[in-house]
Amino acid sequence: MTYLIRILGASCPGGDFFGFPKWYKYLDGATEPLSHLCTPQISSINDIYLIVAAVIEMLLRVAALLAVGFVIYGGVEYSISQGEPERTSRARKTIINALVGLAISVTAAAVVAFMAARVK
Amino acid sequence: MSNIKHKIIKVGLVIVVVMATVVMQSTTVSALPPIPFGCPDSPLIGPGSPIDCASIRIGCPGSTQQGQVATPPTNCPYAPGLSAGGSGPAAGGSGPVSFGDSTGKYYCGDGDQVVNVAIDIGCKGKGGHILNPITDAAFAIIRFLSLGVGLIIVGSMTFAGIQYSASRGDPKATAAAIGRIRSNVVAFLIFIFSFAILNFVIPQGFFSS
Repeated sequence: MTYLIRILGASCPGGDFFGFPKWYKYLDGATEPLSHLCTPQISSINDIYLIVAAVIEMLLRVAALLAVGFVIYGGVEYSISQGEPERTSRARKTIINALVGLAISVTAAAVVAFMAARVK
Repeated sequence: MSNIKHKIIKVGLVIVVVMATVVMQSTTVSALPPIPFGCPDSPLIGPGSPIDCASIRIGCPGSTQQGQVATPPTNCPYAPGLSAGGSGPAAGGSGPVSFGDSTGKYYCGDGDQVVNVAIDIGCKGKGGHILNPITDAAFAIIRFLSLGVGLIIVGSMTFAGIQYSASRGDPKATAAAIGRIRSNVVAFLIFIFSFAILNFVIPQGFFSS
């Protein structure tokens, strides 16, 4: 006989990968009491959006990493420009664009976290 | 310098739009009812027990085929609508029974026009109104899709941010990112207006029915 205990608001543990969120982060987990096996539960059609929210969060991590990488790239470019105005301005543009992109993504990040909590 | 100013203004615009999305979403979501679930007659879990009944949902595997009454195995002590003890055949199954009501079914429509549905698409039938099943299902699908609009727009906005970051000062790439942001804003405005018009046209609105 198998029955499942399901706890609202608690997702299944495990599956960490470089600090990226799990795709079932916002889904309820149902645990079998004897074997402690946990499976993510999709009970309603609206739960699809909880998966979408987790995927968007992964995308946001990528955006943040990319922005930091391009700021470093721009800084290196700036350093090795040897005072040439054209290369300097291009390096500055790289840094500014990286920061603007980060601002856009981070604003969206807060929204996703907020909304996923509400959808639940 | 004016270029930077323009960018700051654009980012501000994006923030305003995103905040509008949040407000939209919060109103959208708060209008939905709490998820129905059965409160089990169990000494471990239930009212008055250490674990609050309102924070837990319990299910047993059972037959949930369409058109059939979902019958959880009778020896499952935590099945909604069943008392503890008893012995019966434990039905095989991978998931718990659905939580539409005590028998684990979902409905669209109301009154004498009730239709069983296999999955929970968010119908609000059996709520005391007289509701056509087709209308109920249509409203449920509209609610489902309008929940998705905000998320998809935020995802697209994130992608635009990535595009912007990766542009490396290339005006063409930046323009592509800005074009994506503009499309997002236009899409959101179209959604808001269609939402408002639909809410105006439908007598009680499709969230309250």
